Amino acid sequence: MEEKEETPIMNFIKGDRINLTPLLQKDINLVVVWMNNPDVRIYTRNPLPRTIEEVKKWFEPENEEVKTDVDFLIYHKNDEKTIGMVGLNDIHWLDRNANIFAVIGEPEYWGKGIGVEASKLLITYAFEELNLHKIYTSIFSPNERSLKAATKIGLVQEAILREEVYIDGVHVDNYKFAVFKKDWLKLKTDKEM
Amino acid sequence: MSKVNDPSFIEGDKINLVPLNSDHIKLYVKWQNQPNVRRYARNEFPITIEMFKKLFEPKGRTIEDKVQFEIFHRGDNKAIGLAELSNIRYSYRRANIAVIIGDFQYWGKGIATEAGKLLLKYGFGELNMFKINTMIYSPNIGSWKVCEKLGMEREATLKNNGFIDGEYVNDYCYCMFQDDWINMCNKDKKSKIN
Amino acid sequence: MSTKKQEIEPLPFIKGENINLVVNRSEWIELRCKWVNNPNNRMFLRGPLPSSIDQMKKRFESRTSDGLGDWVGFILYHVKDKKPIGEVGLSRINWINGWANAYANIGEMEYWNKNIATEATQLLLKYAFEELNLNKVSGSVVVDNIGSWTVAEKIGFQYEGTLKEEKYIDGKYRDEKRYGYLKSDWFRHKAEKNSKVEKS
Repeated sequence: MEEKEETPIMNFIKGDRINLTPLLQKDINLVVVWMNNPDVRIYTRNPLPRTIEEVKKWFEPENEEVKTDVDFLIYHKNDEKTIGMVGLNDIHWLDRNANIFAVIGEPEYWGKGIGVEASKLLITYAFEELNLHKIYTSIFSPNERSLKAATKIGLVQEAILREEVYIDGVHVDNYKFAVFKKDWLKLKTDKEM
Repeated sequence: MSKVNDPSFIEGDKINLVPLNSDHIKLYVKWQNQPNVRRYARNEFPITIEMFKKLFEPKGRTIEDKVQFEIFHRGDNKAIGLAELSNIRYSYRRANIAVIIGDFQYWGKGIATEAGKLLLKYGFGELNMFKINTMIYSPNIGSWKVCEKLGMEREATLKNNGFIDGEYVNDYCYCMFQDDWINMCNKDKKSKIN
Repeated sequence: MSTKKQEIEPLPFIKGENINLVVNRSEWIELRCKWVNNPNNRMFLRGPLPSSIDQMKKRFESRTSDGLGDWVGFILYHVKDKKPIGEVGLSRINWINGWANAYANIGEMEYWNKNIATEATQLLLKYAFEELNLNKVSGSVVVDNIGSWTVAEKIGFQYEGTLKEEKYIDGKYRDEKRYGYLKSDWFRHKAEKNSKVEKS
């Protein structure tokens, strides 16, 4: 079978098992599948069906002077496939903080530490290249897998905001986690010693 | 060639409710114009492909007063109808639901009931609605029997509220409340365990 | 020709004692711009970037009343003194979660420390829970903005945590306190108040 001319995988950040690659328009179809997959979207605050057209519009390159989001795809090196998405949004350059999100879209890669690896790569990028001061994230109380991952990554719980999100018939709590640049770099050097 | 995943947003037994697919616009428009489908769907005016195309145009807002789905048959791997919540009024936590099975071979097979069930689950369980309504014209017996099967209550009859096939017909108002739905789900769970 | 400024007729939407919450008007955009950019105040509001009149006009004009927008704002109008003195409202409204952020800004400094903020926020919360049927209203307050968080606690917001070094203001990072008010809190406080009144 003839193979279509493929766009080469453009590695932006290299990891162990995975690389982070830029999000291209051709990848949007896959992202839309993940956004709609009920098992994947349940804890990502996505209660509305998303069409390909509307998501394409979101990720269209904008002529903004200052970016407020940065998105990457997670590429599994061995299996040669794109399995998820990770990124920063709500970047506030004056306060030098941003929200981090990570989604493993292909369920067979859950429970393997991929989310932890991808998040660590991204946080290092945020502190060492973007020079941010603080990275934070929200995890909802029923999402045990992510709560465990947060501690593994090195995020620290800052606050529990009650009943902020409606998931599966009930309002659940929002656990806010964060890490500061100085603490992150310290974690890294501790590990390297 | 990579395997194409079943489109999904809400998973049911025989069907999934999935986002609208711009490749299927002609199908959607064909269904909505078909005489035996549109008769009770309150479409007395023709619907054009252009009108449907508008739905795929980028919206200025993140939220609308409607949420629309395509009904996708899992076993036969094809689109067979449309389902929606409309007239969503968030401060009243109230919405209307509607189902159209466009493909006739799927009539009388419990598909409308399953679609209705998934819509109720979505409306109450994900959008936190307090009350979900629907209106069915009295001669449309198949549809209001589905409402009763779903456990909806006929709360009112609006007399001569519609004009169909040359005569005035009554409109049945069906509704369900979130508490009732939760109770039904709990009963279902218990009976499954026993 | 008289140089007296034309009195702009306020359109009350919610009536209070000392203040009414009135409909925003395009004639007040310059005034609001002045409040938001006031150096004594602005650091606790939007922050270090100036808000231009054009920006505020654009946002104002994009509003709709169809119940699907993510922002509802009011001007605080002082009943006796017959003038607009600040603004209050709900932003980042998420209808599916039933959540919104509350903001309040007394723009005219002579009205600070006069319980105006308390009254305005109470009226806003009543609107949020009893008319918009929201589940939760949140507020963030920069720790140094003592006036604001004492008001929050007085009204019955619950402290939910402190986000450290969250905002950069005036040369250093400041902590931000998060407060939340649930619909269940609101109705419980109401019931408590009513039973107190009955007993007396």
